[in-house]
Amino acid sequence: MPLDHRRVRGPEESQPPEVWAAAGGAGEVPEEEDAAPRDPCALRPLFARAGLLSQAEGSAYVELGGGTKVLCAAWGPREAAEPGAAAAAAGGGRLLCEFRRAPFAGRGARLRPGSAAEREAEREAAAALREALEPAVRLARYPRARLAVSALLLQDGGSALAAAISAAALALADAGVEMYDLAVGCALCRPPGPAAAWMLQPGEAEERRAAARLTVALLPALNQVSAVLGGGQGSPPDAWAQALRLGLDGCHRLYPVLRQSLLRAARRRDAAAATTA
Amino acid sequence: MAAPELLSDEGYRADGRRPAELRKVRARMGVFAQADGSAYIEQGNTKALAVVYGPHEVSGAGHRARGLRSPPSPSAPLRAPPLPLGASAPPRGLRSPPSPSAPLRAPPLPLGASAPPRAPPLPPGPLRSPSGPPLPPEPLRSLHPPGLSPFVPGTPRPPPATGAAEVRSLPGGRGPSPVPVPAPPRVCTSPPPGSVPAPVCTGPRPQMRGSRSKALPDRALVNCQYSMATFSTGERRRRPHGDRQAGELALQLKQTFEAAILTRLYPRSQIDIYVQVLQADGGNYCACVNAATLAVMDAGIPMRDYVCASSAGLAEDTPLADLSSPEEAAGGPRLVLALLPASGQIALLQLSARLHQERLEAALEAAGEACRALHAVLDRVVRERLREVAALLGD
Amino acid sequence: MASVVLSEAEKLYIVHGVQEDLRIDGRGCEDYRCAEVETDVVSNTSGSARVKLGHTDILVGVKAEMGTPKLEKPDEGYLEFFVDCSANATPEFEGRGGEELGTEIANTLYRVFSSESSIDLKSICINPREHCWVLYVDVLLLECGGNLFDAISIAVKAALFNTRIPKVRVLEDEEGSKEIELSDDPYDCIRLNVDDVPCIVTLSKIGYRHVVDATLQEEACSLASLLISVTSKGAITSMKKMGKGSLDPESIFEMMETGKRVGKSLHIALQKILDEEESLGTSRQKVGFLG
Repeated sequence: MPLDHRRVRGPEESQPPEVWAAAGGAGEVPEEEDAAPRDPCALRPLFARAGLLSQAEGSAYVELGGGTKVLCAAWGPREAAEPGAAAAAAGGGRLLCEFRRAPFAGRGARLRPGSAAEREAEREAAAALREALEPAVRLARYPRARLAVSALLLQDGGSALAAAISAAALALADAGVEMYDLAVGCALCRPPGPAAAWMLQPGEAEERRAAARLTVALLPALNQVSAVLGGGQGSPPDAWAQALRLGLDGCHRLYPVLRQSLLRAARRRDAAAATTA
Repeated sequence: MAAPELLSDEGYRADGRRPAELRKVRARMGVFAQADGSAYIEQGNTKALAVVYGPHEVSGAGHRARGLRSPPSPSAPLRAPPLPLGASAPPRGLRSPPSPSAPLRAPPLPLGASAPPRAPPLPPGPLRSPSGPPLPPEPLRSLHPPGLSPFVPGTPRPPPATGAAEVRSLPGGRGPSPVPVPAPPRVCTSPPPGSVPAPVCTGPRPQMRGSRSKALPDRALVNCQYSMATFSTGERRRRPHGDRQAGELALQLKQTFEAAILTRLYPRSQIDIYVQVLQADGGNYCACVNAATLAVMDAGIPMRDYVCASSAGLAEDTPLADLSSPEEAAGGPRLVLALLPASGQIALLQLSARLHQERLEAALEAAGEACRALHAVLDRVVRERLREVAALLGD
Repeated sequence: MASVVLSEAEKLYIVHGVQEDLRIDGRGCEDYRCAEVETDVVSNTSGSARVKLGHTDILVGVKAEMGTPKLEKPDEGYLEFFVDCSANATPEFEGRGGEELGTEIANTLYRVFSSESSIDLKSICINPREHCWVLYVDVLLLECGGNLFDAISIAVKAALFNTRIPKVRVLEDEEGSKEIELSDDPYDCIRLNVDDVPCIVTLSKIGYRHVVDATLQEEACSLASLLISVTSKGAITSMKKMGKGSLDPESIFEMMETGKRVGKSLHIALQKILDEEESLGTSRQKVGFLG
């Protein structure tokens, strides 16, 4: 890693002061946040807009009520960089995904920007993104080509991967890539405690404290699940099945919003084309 | 120097062996089904696995796989440049175009490009620049066969790294000639850690990133990787391979086996030898050579002879064969010998720490004796295996 | 990952076979291949295990080293996973070729062990905030013949079962400086309770059915698989969909049920082997790679 000698390098790891404050016996600060128990089935307001970047072939921006902001750009089929690899891909194109966190995305210094741990986390998220999108894209229509999607997380307010999946699917669709369906992502978490119920679209604080987390992605028109990724303690025996149902239901409810934004983008583009013509 | 406690008054070593006694050797061939050849060896508590793939096309599995592997990391255009990956990214771009045609692949440039960032502390740093000062090359050049000189300064090829690498593989030429030309013993005194690297290390840091030289028109390319399991040593290792030592040992392994395998039978092809130390207790390299010999035989690749390797040390005047890890750690002289027992040719000879020249003979003799004893054991293993296989085929 | 290339006809043969609950090697859809488990194969580790499942060959070494607890959890030790996809498995893994798969598996293992109850981390804390044991779980992939994740999780559980951490005592003198004393007796050690350590069950969707423990050939026929980690009590600790296909929601629920059922019996079988091996004690003849 290239060292930046002009700056004072901070320590490799840093911790939010809350860790120490809590140990000092001070009251649990984050408790008050969820003083009012929220409806576990409630979705946070979602804002989606497609086609907002002029340089990228397709782009989308998704914002969740809690403050999660994701910007996605997609590039349509390009010639595959490695001819050998393209031949090995059995005729189908390849989808390259990238997921990056902006250095200012997190509230606490969870991971030092640019650290190996953060790169690792980004790479894992990128792999999850690819697995979620691959079933939605008609890769067989793009032999020997590659499609690229880049997601930039501007602000992490919880459910970041789910928002990125939705945004990336929108961006691909906006780029005119042939797809079977949009992939809609939805996150859930279960707070600690034996009787706690799963909640849809957790905020960042809820996500951090959660005993179990789950991200699902659905292709709603086909009713196919394209991603399931979760771990933790889902105490009652069929808790995970419940969570999955809840999450898929959430995806179905988010679908119209995403479709609307896509339609609006298409209309805007038509209008723009009409004025220039 | 050689600590007296290496040998008790009664003439026994710490683990109860006599000076010339080997540790118990157990070996098995054909451990894995998917590899072309594989073998496992235990020498005392040192355990090593060797796997052989090939001979196959040079542009084969390894290269294509890399092509496959690299893309999943987000495409280069999307990626911000300053990442450390940046250093290795350009070679990828460069390496890919050559496509299937074998001789084109692995152009020298990418290797040079990827080598410098990994090797800042090496003394030969100034040597690396193509128009380097004329002063340092001299001592270096004298150590190498004359074939090297055209490569060193002022060649249009920027990386002396590759230049030197080719030289490394050239000495292999001494082996492949069927006439038993006595191989020039390579005595390299690698000094204790901390001092100036020995001549062995003056070349590029071997990078076991696959075959970097082109397919050789007249013989097979031997490609080696030496790795140690992270849990193999007393203290946990951070990574299994890719460090300096592993690279150096892999290079030595390559040289050893280039001398032993009849590489001329397989022009334009590649033979991969991967060794893995599972448990380290002294003589790791030797165990790996022995395992690799068995694996190469298991793969059915013709060799001139077995390659048997053993280490030897000295306790006062008594030579000790097959050093264990505490004996290696005692800091006495250590001789590593890889021998082709039938012809008596030396494939590799390495001496670390200082040793009076008069004692060299004795240590060498002890190591040679140990190699011959190992040869008998390995030969038995091979014959047994052959009987097994023959019996299975017969049914 | 190592993979095989199959013709359409071969794929069809496998898919049709699975439909009839008869797989190419004669197994049913919910049968595992014969697995060989051996513990304590590498003597300079705290615990080790080798698992051979069909052609998949995994060696796991657990090393306990002293470290400082993580700040968020000052009274707990922690586990570190590292997966080395060695070139032994396939030449593709040479150099850094195996790194990507290695980190993917390591991340999966972190997620599998993310449930707090899977292993009692408090028991490997020496003194809070200062010292704890760090268990480095190093997985070495020697050969891959399908169903890597399951084999690795079995090996990890066996190695953790085999792990013996030396007991230490913390001595505190008058000035409050602490000294750590290692017990001299090698048999005086902590064992880990692995009852709640989950195993991964990978269910590969082939045609309309799903199979467990897919071979390389079957993996080539499967577009999507669901990876579930199940404890011996049948509780799920993590889920992940793998592969480039998608799954029907209903089939996911079915797969989860199958996973739980298969996982439970897998745990029982594994525990039986481990206990058997344990009861033999030192009289057990070590086979290692020589067998």
